[in-house]
Amino acid sequence: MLLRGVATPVAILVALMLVGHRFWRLKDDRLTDPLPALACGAALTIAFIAMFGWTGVPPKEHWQWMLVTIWGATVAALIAPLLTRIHVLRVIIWLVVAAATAWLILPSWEMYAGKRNWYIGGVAAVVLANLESTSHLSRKRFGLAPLFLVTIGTILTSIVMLYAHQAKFAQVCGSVASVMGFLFLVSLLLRRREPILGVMAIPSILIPVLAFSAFFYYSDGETFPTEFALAAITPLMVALVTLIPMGRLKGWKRFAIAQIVCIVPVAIGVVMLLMTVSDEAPDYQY
Amino acid sequence: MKKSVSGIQMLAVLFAGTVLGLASNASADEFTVDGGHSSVLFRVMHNKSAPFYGRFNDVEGSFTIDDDPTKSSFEITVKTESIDSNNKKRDAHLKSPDFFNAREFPTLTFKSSKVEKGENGALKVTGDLNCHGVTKSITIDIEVTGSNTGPRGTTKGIETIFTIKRSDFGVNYGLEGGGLGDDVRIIVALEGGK
Repeated sequence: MLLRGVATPVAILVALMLVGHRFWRLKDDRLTDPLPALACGAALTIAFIAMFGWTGVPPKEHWQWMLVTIWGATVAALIAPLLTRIHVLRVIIWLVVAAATAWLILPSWEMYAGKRNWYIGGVAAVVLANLESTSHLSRKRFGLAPLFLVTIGTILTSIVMLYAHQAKFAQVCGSVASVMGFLFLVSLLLRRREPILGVMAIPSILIPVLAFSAFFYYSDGETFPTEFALAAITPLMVALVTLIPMGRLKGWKRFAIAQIVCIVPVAIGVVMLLMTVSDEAPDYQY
Repeated sequence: MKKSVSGIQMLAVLFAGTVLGLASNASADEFTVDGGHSSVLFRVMHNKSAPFYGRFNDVEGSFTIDDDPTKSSFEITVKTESIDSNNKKRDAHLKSPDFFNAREFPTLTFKSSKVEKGENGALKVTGDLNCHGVTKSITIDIEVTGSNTGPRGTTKGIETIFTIKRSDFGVNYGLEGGGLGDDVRIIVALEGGK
């Protein structure tokens, strides 16, 4: 399962990126290059189906709507580069995407019925903040650092899922991390400096989708969703670190500070989960 | 004289009718499951090596045992949130979408649709088992283990042991590599009271 979750998307992504680069020969400065977004979407979709089978639409279990959010995130990644300079329209589109995402992943169970609007509002606010803050990362001057930072953040989010005993969500999170990580490596290999081309929209949507889904399905009803909320804002943190004035610092110092600031929230989430489950029971394995 | 004999006959008929009626009512009475004295266990092979047992602590329902097996019926509900594997971490995982998805599918249910006389005094019961949102028809043997009438009323016990494939119900986590077996033996022992 782990192999499928990580190896499948990586194999598809690398194949599509290399083949696409070979035949399409797109120039580095073309911000509307759809290849990375399409490759990510295809890789994550096939990985999801490889792990869990074709779940159907509508799916039998509510969390399986996650597959549709992968497609939505892919579309968002495709259009993100086109919206970088159209601020009002961009915010409106992101608002619609965020609300639709929140509405889709919130289970229609009775236990959430009373606070349905609050949950939708909360999830949508995080998705909107992620999308809007990472939109400006499509610009060339940020290079490949955001991809690397979000990869590390996604790996930590996957650990949050594991400690919350949500292995399936952790596997999807692992797929997102592997796609982002290898997109970073492929971009390095191909010397494509404008890399992101909107693909930051993918973790901006999928990380909160995974984090909040894990919360909705978390069976310890007394747990406040802090850990999951901290994981959900990882893309926002990636965007925020670019605002820190670090002009006089050397490259490695700048990178280290950015990395630390970026992963602090999700790392706190991991520690909080570790503290809640520490000595309650011995480890188990299947 | 003739009138007197007729009165005795009438009384005898009334008495017999009352007794038969009571007996008939008694045999068709419904027993409510006493969750405090009932057990639902599951057994699954771990790592292709040893059987592992866990249980569900919250079971409710009712059953009717009639002298005529076709009039018997069983309806049992088990709360998935009550799963107990003697390890809190594992319980949380078992409740997650990886296994029972307790939030979305809060109950396991069995409802009989057909009851026949089985072998060795057992009842051959066909019914719908709903687990993980999937409903499948299964046939199981239910043994009536005993009954008693005391200060707490009348109690009756039943027990059944049967095996299902969890993959039939879409619970596939851990199947790859044989970490957890596909066959799950279910042991249900219920005490019902009225």
